[in-house]
Amino acid sequence: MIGLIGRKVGMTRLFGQDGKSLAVTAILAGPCYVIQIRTDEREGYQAVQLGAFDRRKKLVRKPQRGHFAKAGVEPKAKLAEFRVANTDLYQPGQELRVDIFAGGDRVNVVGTSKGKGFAGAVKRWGFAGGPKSHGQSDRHRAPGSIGGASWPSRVWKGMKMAGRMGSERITVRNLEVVKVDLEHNLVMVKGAVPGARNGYVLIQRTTELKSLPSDSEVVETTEKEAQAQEKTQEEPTPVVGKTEVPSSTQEKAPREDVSDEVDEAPARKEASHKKSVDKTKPEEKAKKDSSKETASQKTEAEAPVSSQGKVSQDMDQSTEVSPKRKSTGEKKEG
Amino acid sequence: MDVLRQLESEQLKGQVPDFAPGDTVKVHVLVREGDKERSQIFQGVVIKRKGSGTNETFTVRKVSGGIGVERIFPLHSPHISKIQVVKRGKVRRSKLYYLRALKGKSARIREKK
Repeated sequence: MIGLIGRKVGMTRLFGQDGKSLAVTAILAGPCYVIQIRTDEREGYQAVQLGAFDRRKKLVRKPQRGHFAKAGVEPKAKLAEFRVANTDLYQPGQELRVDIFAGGDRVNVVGTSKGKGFAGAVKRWGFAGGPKSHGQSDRHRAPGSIGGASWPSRVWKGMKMAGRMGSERITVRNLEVVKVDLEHNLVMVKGAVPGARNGYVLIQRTTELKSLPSDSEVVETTEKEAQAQEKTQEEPTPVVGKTEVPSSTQEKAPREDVSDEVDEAPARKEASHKKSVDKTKPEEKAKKDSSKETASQKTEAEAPVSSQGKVSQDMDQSTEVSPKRKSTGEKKEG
Repeated sequence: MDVLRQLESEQLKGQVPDFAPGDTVKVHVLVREGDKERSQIFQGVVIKRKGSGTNETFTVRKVSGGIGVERIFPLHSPHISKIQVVKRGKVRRSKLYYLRALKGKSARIREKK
């Protein structure tokens, strides 16, 4: 899926059409240029290498300069690759701009998070730290025990402890594109995006929602599939499409068995068909869910909220300060 | 950042009345009831203004039935149709949090002349 290279501009607030306030991140994206096509023949995979943001020629080493010259593009500061299914759509030198996105799209944004330096276990792993009182000293942000003394009498690998935090590649998934500004090459994305201002980010349309139907569900179906496969392998039938049935067993199977199988086969076909239906369901569900979500968002925005009095209070993020103590003195005022 | 400012400028309201902490204002808030939209008035003392650009908000405090109520409005929200200044107050600080602790006579603000 093709994407864009961008830089985080900063966050701000936009008012939606319904007047609701949205926290958005502005990303200066592109224009990106196709620098090179990675192909199955040469590199063993299909991808498009994009470059964005000009860099002075003087600062680019000669081999790099040649690389850019090949595509007929001025030297760029940042290169990134995007895997694509079909590289035929792209030629070196081609320009890609923010109009590949539109409002309402869902995107994943990849960035490098802000470095936190050497951080303790409380900040880095969310540990609770020690008690704040009751005779504690120097234990307020301590990580606690890190393992047994007699067994394993060592510290397990991967133990959550203090250390370097941040400055890592982070993907934020499924952010909504609120607005696209072709003139300024800006993409406004709802919510926060990893990294500091001016940090490089990659924006890519969210691929088929793998994440949304609960992962366990997906695993279940694959398990079922596996079981089905096992069964079919035990008694080879012509139904099997995917499963790798050793051809030798099929050949060896006596005639009578085959005739039996003819009776069973349709039933199995049905069964396997059902299973395949099951398989597709989660994806469909996901799609439905997502469409529902957007629909419900709309209705939320337009439709009346039941308790009318409350509406005004809830709008605009306005907050009410909880009632202060009533006192007789105030009564007199009224 | 300049790009951001420029982007925000499209969202800003052209005319915002001049008001400051200490002023008493009437805020006309658009309220949706069913399909109908009507405006509701929230009148009180501005106790703070903060932020800039589209992020600018102001807080209005009133005492309703002996209970202090504060509402924070985004200045450029489309839900705010009008802001009327009722009274100009003379105050010596920009955030009037001290009003929260006061009531009755002591919570009054002198009017600017």
